[in-house]
Amino acid sequence: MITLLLYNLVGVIVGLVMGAMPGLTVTMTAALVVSLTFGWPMVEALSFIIGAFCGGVLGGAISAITINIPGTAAAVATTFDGFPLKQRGEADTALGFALFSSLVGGLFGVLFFVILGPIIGKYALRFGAQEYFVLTVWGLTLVAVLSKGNFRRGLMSAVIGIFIGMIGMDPITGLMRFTMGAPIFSGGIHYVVAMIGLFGMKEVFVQLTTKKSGFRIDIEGYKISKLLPRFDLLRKLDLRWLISAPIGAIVGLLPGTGGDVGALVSYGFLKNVIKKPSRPFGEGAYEGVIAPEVANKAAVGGALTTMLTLGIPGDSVTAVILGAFYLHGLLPGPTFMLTEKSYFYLIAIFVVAGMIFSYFIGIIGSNAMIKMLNLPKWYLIAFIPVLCIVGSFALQNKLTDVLFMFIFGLIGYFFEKSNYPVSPMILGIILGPMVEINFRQALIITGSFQSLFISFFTRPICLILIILVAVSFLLQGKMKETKVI
Amino acid sequence: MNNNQENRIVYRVSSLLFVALVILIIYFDISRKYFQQGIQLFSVDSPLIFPFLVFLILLIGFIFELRTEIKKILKQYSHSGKQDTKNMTQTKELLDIIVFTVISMIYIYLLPKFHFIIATSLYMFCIMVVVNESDKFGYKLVKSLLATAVTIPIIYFIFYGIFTVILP
Repeated sequence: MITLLLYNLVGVIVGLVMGAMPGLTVTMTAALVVSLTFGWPMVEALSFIIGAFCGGVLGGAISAITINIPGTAAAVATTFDGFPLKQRGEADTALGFALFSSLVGGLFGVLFFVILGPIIGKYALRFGAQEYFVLTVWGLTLVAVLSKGNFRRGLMSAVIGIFIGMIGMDPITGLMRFTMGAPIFSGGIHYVVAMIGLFGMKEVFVQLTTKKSGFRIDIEGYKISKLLPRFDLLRKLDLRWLISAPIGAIVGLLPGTGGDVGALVSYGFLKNVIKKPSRPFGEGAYEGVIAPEVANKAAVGGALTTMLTLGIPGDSVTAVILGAFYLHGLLPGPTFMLTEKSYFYLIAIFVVAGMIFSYFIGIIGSNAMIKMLNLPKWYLIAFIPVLCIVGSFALQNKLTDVLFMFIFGLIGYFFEKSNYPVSPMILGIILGPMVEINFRQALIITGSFQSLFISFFTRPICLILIILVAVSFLLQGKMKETKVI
Repeated sequence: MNNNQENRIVYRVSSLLFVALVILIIYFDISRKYFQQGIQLFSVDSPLIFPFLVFLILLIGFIFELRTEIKKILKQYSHSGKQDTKNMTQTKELLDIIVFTVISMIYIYLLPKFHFIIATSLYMFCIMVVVNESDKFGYKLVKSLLATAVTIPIIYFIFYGIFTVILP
């Protein structure tokens, strides 16, 4: 167990460093660490990946407070009051609160995950091909959120992802598809290679063409003693900030809404509920740092519940983590609680360890991370491609994978520059094969297109799922209208 | 996405061309299997049904995007007064991308010949020299050399030594 915790610790450190650096997203970190763990035993790899995930989500808060640039999307709401606090000379207090509330939120998220996971898992066992199909379609509704206001292009990007996932052998008949007679395509394109290219290499191209040379860090460093929780201040706060934890966990549970949405919803909720905050919201209210940080960590537990028991990723990071679990032979989905129950609890332990390690490493290593923010751009632009190359080669020891990764980087860059969101493509690559297999199996079972269509509405669980899909899709639209997403 | 990015024709047209290429690949693959191999398209157990749905969605999306794009290009050409500065920025960006891509392709070609340490050292050094625009030439050569000399052994040690990752 100690070895496993060590893997978790290293993952946390990697995640924290990468998450703290603007431009290096948690999704990119996850994609890179997944490829490194390819040859590792499954449990060690899971520990490392989950550690990197927990660390990455927390790392975003450091740059959010220090330089007003969220290292991750989940830390966007943290900037609203975190940076004003820093400007008031209370950077230590802000980061201390962010770290402590992350720990509280993270542990609540795990509790939520452990209680709710088995309940959902019990019902999920009754699923047939139709239900699986509707579930995977539910996962694809995430496109609406990831499209960032351009649904048509988001949908096209997701469909291209599905196409990429289809290259190679047909999973049911064994027929070769879209290989154009070239042997290098016959094995298909590994989704991790695509992920590294679309998130890692694309970011290199983006950084290469942006003029900004670096970030202005105007604080010397944090005093470690001041990063410890300030209970004297915490006692004076309205206890309603605790409501952020269930808000984050429930929002994280919904497919298509991750920690970023959870943080924004909880920030907006507390802003309305707490009439007398420590300072006005947006001007350095302590509650304004605590609420989003509690919520975005609690959302990790919610997102993992949906991902493990239903096989639906909550956001692009959990989509990558889902891919990582497949890579290591774990099959999240309705049968997970039946076949892999021990791994469910092991994952919960890894998340708890990851959250605790993140808290302490966040305190001890915050100054080192500020130094990392000072790394020159010319160094990062040369360094990240090497990580991408090592990561893509490590998967199958094939140079063609490095070439594919590079091509995906270019596709990602051109897509992003022309306002085509890239994240739906990854979603399509990962969920595409599942959508196809379940659709075709359901079609074969029912015998005709009409019967398949009718069966969606005559099977009770399927009907409930369709209603849930519609509700969550409408909810996403509503949240977008009210600028929550 | 800001207006500056919205106005970059080269990127938008390239993305549309890529979508068109995907549509063509799907079309030719389906039609080859349908006409030459006699595989049915609309039977319940057809392996072509799902790719056909993908093809349809992409085609519809492409037609709408093409329509929007043509309108945008026509509008842009009718108000082409301030295009020079934007075009210059776009050209500089594309040049950076091309230089980076060429160096990376040479690296991928050289990788099996020189193996990881030598090839990657050369690659990192070249990228740093090209990308670093803030220092004087001599100074950036020394900085790049030092950064490469420190980074590559660390990467090698961490990935090969600790994580036992097979390097190219």
